[in-house]
Amino acid sequence: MYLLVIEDDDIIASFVVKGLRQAGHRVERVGDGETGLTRLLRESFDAAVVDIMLPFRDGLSLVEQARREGTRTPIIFLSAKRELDDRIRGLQAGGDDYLVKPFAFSELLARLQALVRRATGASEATRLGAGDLDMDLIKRKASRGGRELSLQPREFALLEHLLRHKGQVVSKISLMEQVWDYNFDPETSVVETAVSRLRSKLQEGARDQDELIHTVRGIGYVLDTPRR
Amino acid sequence: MSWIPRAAELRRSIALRLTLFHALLFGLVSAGGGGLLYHLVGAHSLGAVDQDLVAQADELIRIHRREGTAGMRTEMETDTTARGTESFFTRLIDRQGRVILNSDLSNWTDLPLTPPPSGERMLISLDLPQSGRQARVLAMELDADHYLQLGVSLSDYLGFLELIRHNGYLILGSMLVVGGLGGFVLAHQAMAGVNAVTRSATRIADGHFAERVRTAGTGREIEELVIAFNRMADQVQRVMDEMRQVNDSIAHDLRSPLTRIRGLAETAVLHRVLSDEGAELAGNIVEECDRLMQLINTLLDIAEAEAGVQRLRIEELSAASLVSQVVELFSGLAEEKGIYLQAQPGAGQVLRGDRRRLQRALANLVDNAIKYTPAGGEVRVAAFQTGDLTLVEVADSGPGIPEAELPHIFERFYRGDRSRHLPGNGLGLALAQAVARSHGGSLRVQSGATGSQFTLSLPQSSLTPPAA
Repeated sequence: MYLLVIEDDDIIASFVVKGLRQAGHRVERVGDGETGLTRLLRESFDAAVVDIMLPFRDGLSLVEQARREGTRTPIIFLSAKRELDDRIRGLQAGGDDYLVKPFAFSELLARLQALVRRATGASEATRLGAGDLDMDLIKRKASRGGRELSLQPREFALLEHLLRHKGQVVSKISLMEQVWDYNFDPETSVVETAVSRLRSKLQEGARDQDELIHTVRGIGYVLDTPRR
Repeated sequence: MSWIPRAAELRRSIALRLTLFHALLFGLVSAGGGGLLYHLVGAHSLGAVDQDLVAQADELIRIHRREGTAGMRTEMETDTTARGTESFFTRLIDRQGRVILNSDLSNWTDLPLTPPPSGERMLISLDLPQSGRQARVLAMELDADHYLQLGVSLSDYLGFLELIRHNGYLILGSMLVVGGLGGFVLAHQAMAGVNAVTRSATRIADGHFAERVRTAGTGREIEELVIAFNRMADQVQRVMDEMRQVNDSIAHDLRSPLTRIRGLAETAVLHRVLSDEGAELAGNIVEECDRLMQLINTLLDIAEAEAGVQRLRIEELSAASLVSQVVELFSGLAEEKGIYLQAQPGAGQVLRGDRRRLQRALANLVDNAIKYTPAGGEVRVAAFQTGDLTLVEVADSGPGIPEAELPHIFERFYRGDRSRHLPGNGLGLALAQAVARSHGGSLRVQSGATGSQFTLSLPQSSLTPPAA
């Protein structure tokens, strides 16, 4: 993907750009709203990450102007405010998304991919898999090495979310949102418990080195084919 | 319907009391004045009747002296004819009770004898049921052996009094109505300003801090009240705005550095530039950043909820789905701990509230309950309804909360002896209570040897989102 990052904070911009490049994307970064608007209008990016507090022109007015001039590039806002501005809500209705700082980079990546998928109208897969793990989203069935797994609905949703982001780290908070529809991380280890239960169901009869779900300390979980 | 005040409230309404007082005062004054007038007129009219009777009797006596009994008879007949036999009669009676002379008595069938005390005259009112009338009767001595009895029907007089009375009642009635209306208008005008202040104060208390009272020309006292009230509201709004700004800037100024720290540490982990040990350390940094941010957010949430400046996103929610959702969220954890977690979602009560905040408050309660309940215990989450309230109850079979700790458990950062070794920041219950309050509800606790029970009560209706 060809991405534009409009962020005035050099450090934040640096790790966002680095992370996106690492994930295999082409990334341009600008540090102020006017330049950002010019580039957004002139070039055809697949998506843009726009900070709200920017010098010369703030992120909201930048995007509003870009939309008036007909740009349809999907946008993710970075907001340092806890409460959502009504203007963001308005733009969100148009398909744009937002993240509140501090955000998990993995979350930013996942949202960008979802936005672009939606914008290009790519249909979501109905069958997911990793190694000998197979998941049929229509029949609501999952199996590993031909052995059917008996999963509760939330476990199914959890596995689906991890599989959709195969190879990417998925944060705890995004699991809370996507799987349980809660937007905060409880004090106790609700997510950890659920992941470890799912993990043991997947591992039943499998070898340790065939572990699919890995914990990334402090950041989240990643589902990936076992490294041979 | 809530806008119809109940009887007890009505009795306490100043406007109603003023109205009634006014009507009563008008009524009393009119009734007193009217009664006095009625009596004076009545007495005066009866006096005129009496004078007429006495004059007539004097005339008869004079004629008797001049012309004897024959003259008297002629005079009697003339008088009776002139006045009408049904309204007037005359008799001459001796002391033995024999009637010597009389006018036409066909309309006066049940006349009694009324001998006057000797040498005096006597005026009495008689009720003559057979004749069907009341009469004023004069008995006057003619000589030692005879007296004259003259009577006049009181029907004209009584009719006149009746007319006065009737009109008096009409006047009294209209006075009551006029007095009541006048009182109502006066009281309403006087109270309109007070009511306006009450309405505004209620809206301000509900979080509409920009609300002001707009009343003009309702009297000096009310205007002074309005001015003082609006000044107070200005002050409150200024403080609230400042608090929001401070909160927003705290949030903003802390967010940027935290975003940098977290982002750098996360990048270090994700890009596998570190040894396993290094990645573990960087992961810890990310976790601590998240914990710190959550702590800041929670503190700001509590402060804003308690100050009533929280921006709630109100929508219609099902209590049952709040309950089943939270039970599902914690079911794995409960099973792991060997605790029976049970949902009683109730009959599908609908309530209006901020879904995210209520979810969080309830999750904090269930989280706590599971934390403090030993293996083999039970936690029950139930929703039900009493009156206008939706209650969500989280009950556990844990050891209960020591009585000395109960008054403090909703305080920020309070941690009881039993919880010091458990994870958590000591804000869970404070937040749950703040959320309940910002929804116009409450969070109560009951605790004993058989466990603790937290009850979140939320009003079902009348919750309007406060102005931002």
